[in-house]
Amino acid sequence: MAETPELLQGTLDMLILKALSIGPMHGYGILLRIQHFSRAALEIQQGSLYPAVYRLEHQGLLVSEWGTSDNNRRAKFYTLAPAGRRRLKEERESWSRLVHAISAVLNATPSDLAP
Amino acid sequence: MIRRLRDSLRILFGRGRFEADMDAELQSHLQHQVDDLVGRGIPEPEARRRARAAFGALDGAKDAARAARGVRWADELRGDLRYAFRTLLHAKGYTATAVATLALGIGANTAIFSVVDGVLLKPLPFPESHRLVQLTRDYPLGALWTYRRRAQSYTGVAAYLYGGELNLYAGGIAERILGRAVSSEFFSVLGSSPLFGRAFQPGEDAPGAAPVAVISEGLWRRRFGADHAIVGQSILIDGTPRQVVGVVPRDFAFPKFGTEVWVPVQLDPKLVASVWGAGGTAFIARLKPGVTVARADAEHRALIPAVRDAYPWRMPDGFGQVPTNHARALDEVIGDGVKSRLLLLFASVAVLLLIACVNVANLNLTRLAAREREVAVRRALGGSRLRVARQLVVEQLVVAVAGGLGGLLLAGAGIPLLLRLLPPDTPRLHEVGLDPRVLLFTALAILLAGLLAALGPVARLPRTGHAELLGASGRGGSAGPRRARLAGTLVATEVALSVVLCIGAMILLRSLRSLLNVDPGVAVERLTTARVTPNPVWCKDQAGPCTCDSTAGGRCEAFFPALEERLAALPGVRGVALANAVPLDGGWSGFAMHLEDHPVAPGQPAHILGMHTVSPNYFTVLGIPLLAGRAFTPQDRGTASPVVIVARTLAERRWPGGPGRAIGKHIKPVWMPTWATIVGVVADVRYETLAAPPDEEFYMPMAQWGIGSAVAVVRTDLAPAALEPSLRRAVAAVDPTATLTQVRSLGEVRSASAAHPRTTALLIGLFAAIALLLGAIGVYGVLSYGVSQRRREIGIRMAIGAAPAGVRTLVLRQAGRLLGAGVIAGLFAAWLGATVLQGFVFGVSVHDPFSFTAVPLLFAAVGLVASYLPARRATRVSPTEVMREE
Repeated sequence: MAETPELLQGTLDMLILKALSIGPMHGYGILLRIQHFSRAALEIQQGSLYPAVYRLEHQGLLVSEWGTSDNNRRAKFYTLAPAGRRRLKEERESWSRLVHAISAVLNATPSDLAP
Repeated sequence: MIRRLRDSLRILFGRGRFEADMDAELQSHLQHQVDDLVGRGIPEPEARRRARAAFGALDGAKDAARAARGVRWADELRGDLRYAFRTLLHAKGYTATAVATLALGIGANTAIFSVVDGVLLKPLPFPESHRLVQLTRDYPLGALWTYRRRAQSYTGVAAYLYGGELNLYAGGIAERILGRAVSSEFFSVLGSSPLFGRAFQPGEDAPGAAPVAVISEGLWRRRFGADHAIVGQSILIDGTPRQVVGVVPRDFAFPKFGTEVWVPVQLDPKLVASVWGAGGTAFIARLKPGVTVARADAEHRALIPAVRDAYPWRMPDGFGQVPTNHARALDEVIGDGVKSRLLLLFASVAVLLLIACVNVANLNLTRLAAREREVAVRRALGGSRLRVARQLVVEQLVVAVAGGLGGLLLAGAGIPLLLRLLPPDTPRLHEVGLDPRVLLFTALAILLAGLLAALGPVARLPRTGHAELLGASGRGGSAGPRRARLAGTLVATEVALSVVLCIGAMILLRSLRSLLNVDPGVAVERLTTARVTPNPVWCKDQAGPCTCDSTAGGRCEAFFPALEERLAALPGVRGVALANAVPLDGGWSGFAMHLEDHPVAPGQPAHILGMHTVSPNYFTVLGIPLLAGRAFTPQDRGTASPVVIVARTLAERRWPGGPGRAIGKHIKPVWMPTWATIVGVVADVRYETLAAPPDEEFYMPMAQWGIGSAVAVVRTDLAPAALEPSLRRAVAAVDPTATLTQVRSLGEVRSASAAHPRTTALLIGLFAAIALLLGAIGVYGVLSYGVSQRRREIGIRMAIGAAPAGVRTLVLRQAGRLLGAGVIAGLFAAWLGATVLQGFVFGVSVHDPFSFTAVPLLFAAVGLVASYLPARRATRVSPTEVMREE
């Protein structure tokens, strides 16, 4: 396994939604938030962030607006739309089901095979 | 969904902004990272370099971002559109033909649909109009009492009388205007409220109520100077002073467009003749919420015996049990009379659009042949079949939209003409127009036309072998023969559809001719008619048949003889007669009569005969031959010895064996005490329409039978317009409050009686002529294409000695095959479909042999003309040139 684990397909969307659930943020800030939360274990390919963000906006999960960032730079801020909040909840639930299922498989012992 | 569509549209049209936005955002991203790095003490140039490196490929990210926003399809669509415009501008001849063809088809469809929609489909302009029903038109006014007491399905039932004209006398000017006597519930049932003032109140139609009137905004502005003080004032309607209580808005037009006055009916049990004697009252009602029309109808049918028993005399046992006596949705009833004609028109115009689409598809297909190399190049360069097909569809949609816009212009210009062409008694014509509903229809027609026109060519896109196509000279491709076959099928279809339309049109036109050739039984030429109406207040109890013994009718009785005398003295007038109605005007009033030798058992339906009231010289002036006995004389007056004259059909049916057998027999209206003696028999006259065969009819002398309004029939060489001023002066001289309306020749009356069939025949004839033209264009196009495809073959044939005549035969044979297949298919379809014309034809069969022979001959002739040019071009092919081209 590599030092920074590969992201599963589709999980980037979930991470973006989660990062924005704390509050509105611009693209670079989203990357920093994800990095921070994962304690630097996850590094997102910068180039892959924007296609994902645009897709989410097109689906109506995010709303964007130009504003000014902390260091006084113009930046486009993304806010979680109500639909995005719902989606995040769904993704979270299915994710934890997946994690439980996978760890159950990985933690299985021969005794689990007995009827 | 809508938000996403809006997003997509923004991308499609705001492409520049999208790109600028994305660039700015990515720059901002990089700047933030640079700021971070600089903050950690890295010098700016190095920070900038690292930030760029960390981001990765900027262009790749942009592309992915564009794809994520669905920008790519928009890019491609814009490309397709641009390409389509370029191609179409390049092929000007094709584009002009295709756009013009579709403009004709879509324009005609839009115009006809606007009428269909306005007359049949649009909701009536009343609140919750789906709850409005018409109960019946078969009952007299008195049935309203039964409904008020017994009906449970409605929030209200209202009645209004048949016949919609009243005399208005104001400011010294007498005018006959559209007006209605209605029951007090009329406005509340319709859910309409006045502009100001009030509508009728309950009880205002009861005996002894003060006379009131509601007027329209139009009349208020036209005659009363838009003065609000009109409410409370008194105006003279039909000689009765009535207080105006309210003014209704201009757009309220019920039961007829242009109605300007509403007055309450007189629901007085003592007025037996007007409450029970006359039929023709319409009953409308508003359903209670949740009550269906079917439930209301069940109640309506159940109430029939109650209505029958409410009559003051015994009615036949089977009273009201006729199939027309049903409660039905009001909008449906209003469209009844014209529905089948409009749908026939709509069907024909839809066929025309289909022909136009096939024609464009066909033009397209032949053009695709010329573009074979272009398509092959595009495929070779990696354009997928789908992509090329999409390009073709986009191109056709562009053509269809251009055609549709042209069609809208045509429809905009055509609808006013169409409205003038349609018979004026068509209901709801004033609601017809290019409104959003019609525009939506046009948009659908455009979409359908574009897709249909693209269908053929797309189906025949070369599937394989683009390399092969590129290698060949573009003429030997494998798609060629297959495409030629499809083009042939398309043209044959087009010809078949045109044949169907042409046969239908010819049958209708021949039917119209035989209708106009019907002898109405009067000498139509050189007769001018005009309706003259004195104030009815003098002619008391008008709906009652006989006022001979009422003294109140005296002034009325004096009016008509005086009028007749004045009119006869006018210069240019050779004869004058008066009657209650003129021939061919749809005026037929039936009366329940007793006939000598034909007793009716109690409870059985009475004999219903058509009755006419005429002045003595009516038969001479109109040229109606006397078959036996004598005509009326001025001595036929008073009640002592009533006399009648019967028409031939009545005489022959009831007293067969020669017209003389009826003379001396007696008849009388069922409620009258005295029998009238038949003194003469005259020839039959068609009173209702040209198409309706004469019924059993009789005439009574005006001097013995009350009459409230008469048509003056004047024999003269003058045109109606030339005679009108002197007519008007003559009427005013007898009585300034009497009105004169409907001045027209009897020829115009006859023409108006055929208005519906004429409009249908003319419009379908027009569509058929367009169809014929399009069919000719189709044949011409395919043959030209065939000749250009076979240039090489023809050149070789000629090089080895074929004569020009032989080459011409080659082309003509192809033309013959196309036309033959199309005409035969068309004949077959027309034969099967002709039954839809049943009910529209008069005097010809729907399988009229003449039409089924003449139309194929016509198509053969047109086909020959259309193939002449291509055939000549084929004979001009120069063998040496063809060889050189290789």
